[in-house]
This record gives sequence, C-alpha cells and structure tokens, in this order.
Amino acid sequence: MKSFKTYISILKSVKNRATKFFVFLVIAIVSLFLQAYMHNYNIVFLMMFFLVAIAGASSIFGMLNLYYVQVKLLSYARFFAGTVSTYKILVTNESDNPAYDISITSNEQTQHIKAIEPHYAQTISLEVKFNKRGEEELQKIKIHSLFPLPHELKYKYIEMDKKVVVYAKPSGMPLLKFYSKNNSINGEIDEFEGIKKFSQGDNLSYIHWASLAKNDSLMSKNFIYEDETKKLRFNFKTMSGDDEDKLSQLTLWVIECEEHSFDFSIDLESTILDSKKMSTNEILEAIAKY
Amino acid sequence: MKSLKQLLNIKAPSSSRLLDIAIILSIIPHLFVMKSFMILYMLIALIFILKKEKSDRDKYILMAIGFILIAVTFFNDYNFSSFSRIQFFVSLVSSLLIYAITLQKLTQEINIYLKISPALLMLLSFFFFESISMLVYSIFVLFVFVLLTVWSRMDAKLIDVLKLTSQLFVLSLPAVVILFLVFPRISFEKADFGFKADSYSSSGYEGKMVVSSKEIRLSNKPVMEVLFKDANISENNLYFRASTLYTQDGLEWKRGLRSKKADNLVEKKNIINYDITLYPHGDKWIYSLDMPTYALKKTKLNDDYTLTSEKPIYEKKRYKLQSALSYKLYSKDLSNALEVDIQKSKRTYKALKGLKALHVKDATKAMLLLKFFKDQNLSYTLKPKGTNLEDFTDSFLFESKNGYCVHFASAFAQSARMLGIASRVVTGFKSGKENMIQNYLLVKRSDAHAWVELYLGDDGWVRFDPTTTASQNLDILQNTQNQAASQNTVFERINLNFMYVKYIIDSWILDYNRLKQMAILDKLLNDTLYLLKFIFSILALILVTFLIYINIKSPECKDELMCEMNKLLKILKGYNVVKNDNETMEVFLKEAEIKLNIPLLEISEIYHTLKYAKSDKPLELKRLVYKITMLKNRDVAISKV
Repeated sequence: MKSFKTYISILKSVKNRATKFFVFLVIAIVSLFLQAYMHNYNIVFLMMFFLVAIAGASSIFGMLNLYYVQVKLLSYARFFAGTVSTYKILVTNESDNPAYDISITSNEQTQHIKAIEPHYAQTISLEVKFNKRGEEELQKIKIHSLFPLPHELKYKYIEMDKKVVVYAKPSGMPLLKFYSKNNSINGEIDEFEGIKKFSQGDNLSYIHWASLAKNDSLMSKNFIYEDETKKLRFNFKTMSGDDEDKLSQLTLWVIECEEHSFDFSIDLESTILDSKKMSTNEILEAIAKY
Repeated sequence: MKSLKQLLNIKAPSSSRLLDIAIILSIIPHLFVMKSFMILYMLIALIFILKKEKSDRDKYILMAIGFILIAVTFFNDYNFSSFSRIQFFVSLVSSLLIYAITLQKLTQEINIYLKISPALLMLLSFFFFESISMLVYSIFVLFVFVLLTVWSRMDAKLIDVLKLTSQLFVLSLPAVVILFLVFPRISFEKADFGFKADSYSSSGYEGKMVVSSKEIRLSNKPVMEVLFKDANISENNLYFRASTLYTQDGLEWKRGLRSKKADNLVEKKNIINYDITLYPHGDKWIYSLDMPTYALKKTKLNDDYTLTSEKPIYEKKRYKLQSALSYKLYSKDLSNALEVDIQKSKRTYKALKGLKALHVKDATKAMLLLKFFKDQNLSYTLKPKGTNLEDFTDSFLFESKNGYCVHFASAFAQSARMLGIASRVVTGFKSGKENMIQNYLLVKRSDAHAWVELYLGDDGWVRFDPTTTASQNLDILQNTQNQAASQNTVFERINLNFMYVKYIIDSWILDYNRLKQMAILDKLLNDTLYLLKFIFSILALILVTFLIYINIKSPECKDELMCEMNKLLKILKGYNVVKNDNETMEVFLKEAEIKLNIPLLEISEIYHTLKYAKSDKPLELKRLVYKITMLKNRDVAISKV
C-alpha cells in the first residue's frame, strides 16, 4: 500500500500532456454523448462512461509506470567542443512491476526501451555536442511514455546535476607531421648507429624521417648517446594562429602524446603544464579553461 | 489446457494483426443486419485481401464489385417508404464504411482512418441493437479494444496484458456506476431504432375463443414480465385480462357488436402499480391486471376495460400500469350478454330450471351455479375426450365431464345466461406464485386462461373462475403431465431466476431513465435509511473493486524458492528478526535460530540445496514448503495462546 505522500509525490513529479489521440478520444466521447443523450440510449451511455473512466485510470497507471524509473549518469567519454561525444546513463526500474514503453530524450535524441523488468537496470548511450569549450552542464533528461493508452503523454525531467569540462576541439597539424617539418628539437645528437623500429617511449626526435618518407615505416635512430632529460615542450606564445586555434592545436598534440606515451610540457603563459606532474585530463582541462 | 497456456504466453502480434482483430470484432454485429449482397461483397473482399500476391487490378475489380453490390443492396432490397430516413442513412453509412475498409486493407497500408474504423463501426452498430446481449458484447469489445491498444505499447505476454486491462476495467467500475446513476438524463422519448425485433415470433393472443375437442400443448414461452410495486398481491388477483367475449357463433366466442356505451369503473380500491414488459406478439393486446384504471400514451382503454395498443406490438415494450384489485364495474347495455340458445342445451336448461325459479339475488344464484358445477364432478384435462361439440354444454356437463378452461368458461357463461344472469367470457392469462420471485412475475403462454364475468346487479361485473370447480386434474392423475413437470421443475426454477436477473438488467440498465433517476433522488432526499444504504453500497463497491484490483495486481511468483523463503522471512519479521540486504541466508537463519530458539537449520540446508542444485528437486521443495507451513502453524498456535 502506498502512502498518501507517495501519491502526492507521484502527481508532482510526473506530468501529463495530451496527444493527438486525445482529440480522437474527445470526438468519440462527444459522438457517443450525442447518440446517447437524445434518446436515452443506456448502452451508449455506458460506453461513454467506460471510456472516460478508463482514460482516467490509464492516466494513473501511466504515472506509476514512469514514477519508478530513475536515471543515473554512469560514465562519459571526453567532451570536445564541436564534436559529438557520448555518455552512458543507467536507467533503473525501482518498482515491483515492469516498466513499459520508456523513451529517453536528451538533446533532441531519443532512445526507446520496450520494457524494463522490476528492479532491473539498463544502460543507454546518449550523444551530446557542445559548441564551446569550458565548463558546461549536462542537460536534463526527459523520460516519457505513452503507456498504457496513447491519448496522454506522461513525462518527467531528471536533472543530471553534472558539470563537465568541454575541451577545446582537437584540430590542427598532427604532431608527427609537425616534427617532420620542424626537426630542430631539443635533445638531438647527430651521430647514430643504424636504425631500429620505432617503439612506444622512444624519443620523437630520434625518428628517422627518411625511412618514413621512403618506406612509410616509422623507424628511429639508434643513438650511441641520449640525453634523458629532454622532452617535448610546447610554447603557447610562440605558436601560430589565434588563441582558439592554438588551444585546439595543443589539445590535439596532448591527445597524441597520450596515445604514444610521450612526455611533454606546455608553457601556457602563466602556467606550466607538465605531463609528468599532471594527468592528461588535468592538462586538457587547463587548456579548456584558458 | 496446454493450448490455452500457449495462447496466454504469446507475445504481441504485429500492429496490423491487432487492427485486424479489432475490425473483425466490430463488423460482427453488422453481419446480423446486412443484406445478402453486402455479405457477398464482404466474402469477395476477404478472398482478395487474403490473396498472397496483390495487384492494382485487384483494387479496381473490388471497387467495381463493391459499387455494384452496394447499389443493388440499396435499390433492390430496400423499399424507401418502409424505412425511416435515419435507418436508411445508418445502413448506407455502415455499408460505405465497410467498403472503404476493405479497399484500404487491399493496399496493405495502415492509415489513421483504418485505425479508427473499428470504433466507427461499433458506433454505428449501436443504432441496430439494444438488448442485454448487445450490452454484454459492447463491454466485451471495449475490453478487447483497450487490450489491443495496451498490447501495442507493452512488450509482454498476453496474460500480462490481460491482467493490466482487467485492472483498468476494475478500477473504472465505481466511476462508471456513479456516472450512470447521476448523469442527468433528459426525458426525450426513446427512439425506436433497430431493424431487428426480438426473435420471438409468437402468434400471440387472438382475441377470440374456440371451443374445441383438440388437445392443448403447453408452451413455456414468455408472454410478459411483471414487476409489482407491492409484493403483497395474492394469487387470486393474478388475472390479466385481454379481451371480453359476448357472443357465441357456433363454437366460437367473439366480441360481437357492442353498443357505444362504455362500462363504468367505480369504487376503485386496493390500487396496485406495476410495470409490464410485453414480449412481441404481433397484435395490439396489452394484458393488464383486473381492473386497469387508466390508459397510457399510445394505448386505448376500451369500453370494457381492456387495454390495447395503437399499433401492433412487434418488439418488446415496457408499460407502467395501474389496476384496482377491488372495484365495481357497471354496464348500461347488457343486451348481448344475455343471448343464449336453449335448444342447443336442453338438458342443462332443464337441470337449472329449479335454480332459475328461486327468488334469490343473482349473486346467490351465481354461487349456487358454481356449486352445481362442482356437483357435476368435472375433471380438468388438456386432452378432452368424448365431448360432443353439437350440443357442447350438455355433453360437457353430463357426458364427457372433462375439458379445460375454455370448456368450463363456455359452459358456465351459457348456464348463467339460462338463469337470466348477464355473462361474458374473459380471456387472458392467469399466473401463479410459482412463477414469482419477490415482486417479479413471469407470465408464460401456458398461463393462458379463460374465465367468466357475471353481472350481479349492484355489484356490477364480478369475476368467476369455473375451472376451479373441477374436482380433479386428469393429466396429473394419469402421470403424463407430472412426469414432464418433475423433470422440468429444476430447469424452470433456474430459468425463472435467469429471467428475473435479465429483467432487472433490462429495467435498471437498458431502461434507466429520468423518471427512475428522479425517483432515486427523491428517495435519497426523503429517506435517510435509503441514503445510508446507497452510500454504503457505493463504498462497498469501491472496496470490492479495490480488493479485486489488488488481487489481479499481485505479481506472479516467478522464483518458487524465494517465494517460499519470503513467507519464512515474513514469519520471522513478526518476531522482529529481519534479514539485512548484505546478510547471507545461512548466517541470518543461524542467528534467528539462536535468537528465537526455533529449528531453522534444516530449512537452511534444504534452501541451499535447492539454490545451488543443477536440476529441479521437487521433493526438496515440497519438504521446504512443509517445514515452513509447520513453522507457520506453530507460529499461529503460539499467537493464539
């Protein structure tokens, strides 16, 4: 037995909106009314009353169906400005009865779940696109359903209450290409003995560009001597382009460094972002919030 | 059973199939009123629709066939003059709608018009039928429509959809009942829609009486249903008059030519109000209790106080009548109530000479005449034998001495006229309390009866039933009637109860109107006890609805083991021993055993055996159920102590 408070809570949280089928229902009731009223047609009266009562009862069922459906943010990939990113939510049915015909809408994208078993959860992936970098909030999610009868749409909003950092859009010249053009990099020694296959962790400055150009294979020089203290250093001030372009470029390079496990540091005017001291996400965040 | 289980476990069919089911259900009532050409068209359309490979050509062929057959239906079978405009209009609209549906089905495209077509067809079918079967069918179809609509949105088995739809219906019942009772009605006259009359096509009552020696076969078909406002009506008053017959032409009693002077009903006492539902009989007779006091709209109270309708009765009609059980009915013209041919009844005339010569009142003579009949030792039988119809009265009274009500009435009326007392034969129905439940009386064709009214001066026309003078019933004695009677008694009783329920539904649902509504309102405002009963009934209905809803709602037990263990957990909860979510069953039961000092170890062992068993172990489950039941009984015993 549910308490009165629960019913009040249900009424407050789940809202209704009439659909086009509501118009048909009204027309049906009016037609029955006209047919019944003029000549006291009791069978038709009964049909009319049943329609009205069932429509009302279905409203209650629909609200109960939706009330116990809850949504929780499960995980999300990195959000980049101007790029479609996905995040996962967990849709849970906390009721003792199955929930039917559930639709989840966010950012004009709708996903439909036919049924969720009692005390069962289902994972849904949603897409989102932020146009600007910086701190953003995930939009509230609309859960709606036409169950059990389609004359009314029952819906409720769930606030995600989640602030996320949208990183700058990764764009610009890829890191490897950049190095092939600008090979005056710190830590390079001219004498080397043979070449070997480039493996992860190798210094970027040791790339044998001739092999890359000729054979399209990434080979590195086998130096007799290496300066272990050297790493990639990016300077925001000296980069070309406007601030946004620079930030996008830096974002791209940070991602590529992460992929290849390159150490790097970024001189972001008043801040030095060192990959050995900060995580990639922290660095990206700093770039995004610039 | 297996197939029923399989049926209940089926998942939702396609939306096209669901729509087909709805259309088929909504077309069924129309099949009963459609003309043959329309039915032929539907069969042809069905063949086209079921064809595997369809082409555009099929559509055009069907279109043409449909057009021709509909034209033929409406210009050949129907005579415009015999149907009202609205009946023609409704028939035409339903035929065109079916035409459109079949053509749309052929395109295999489901559009919005096809989706709403079942509702439109049902709406039109209400114009054709108004009966209990239509009421039941309409509710059934509405249930199925709701089920199909819910199923299209519910990815579940049929059994689950049925449960939900039942819940919707059950929850809506109190609102429907309250709305039905209180929704204001306006008192427009009820329209005579409906092309089909009830299936009864009895010849009904003929309004004349023929003295015959043929055997009579009883028919149990209902003639009318009566609901008295007062239950205290005695069996002696259950005479329903139909016609009065004055002149005998050979063996036939007729109404004869009557003067224009009407009878006069005075000193009306013991007024009784009652409703009758007359079954169609194709004539104008309305059978009213002796003696009706007034005529209703579209009826006529004749000068001899019989009631007739303005038009022949071809369908069930309900009337509100009033009769006076105690009355005086006077006539000014008794000329044709004294006509008697003594030559044809010489022996009777001779026997009654002495009685005629007595200087006593007519009332006394009438009682003596009754005694005379009694003394003749007459027998009642539906198979009269040995009666000479040439001199019927003499033969009946002195030779054959057997017959049924027609013979008794004819002989008695003739005899009374020989005594100089004006008499007339009254034909109608005489019912008995065995056909009564509370205030409800079912009058059957077998209750047809004839009696006599004698004019006794200041007392006016007085009823006499000469059939009661019969000393025995030959049919019962010969066991022929009794055998049939004993076999049918139980069935007749069931039938009577069924008719009563049917009558109540007819009266309170199909015929619920403003008058009844006002009557209820009036009673609610003036009778506190009635008001309390009404409120209590509504609350009881809401409670019963809620209980049914809860019962339907209870989720099925999918995990038998956990369902049984939940019972145990509930028992232990009663002792404030509650299992935590993160506690294992083994630990919990061990602790509970120590705390409550009750044996739970074996239950724990069986539970774990079943939980981790690779196959079903029905015996172990039964043992578990048994152990838990024993624990429950012990719990009950302790709580009782």
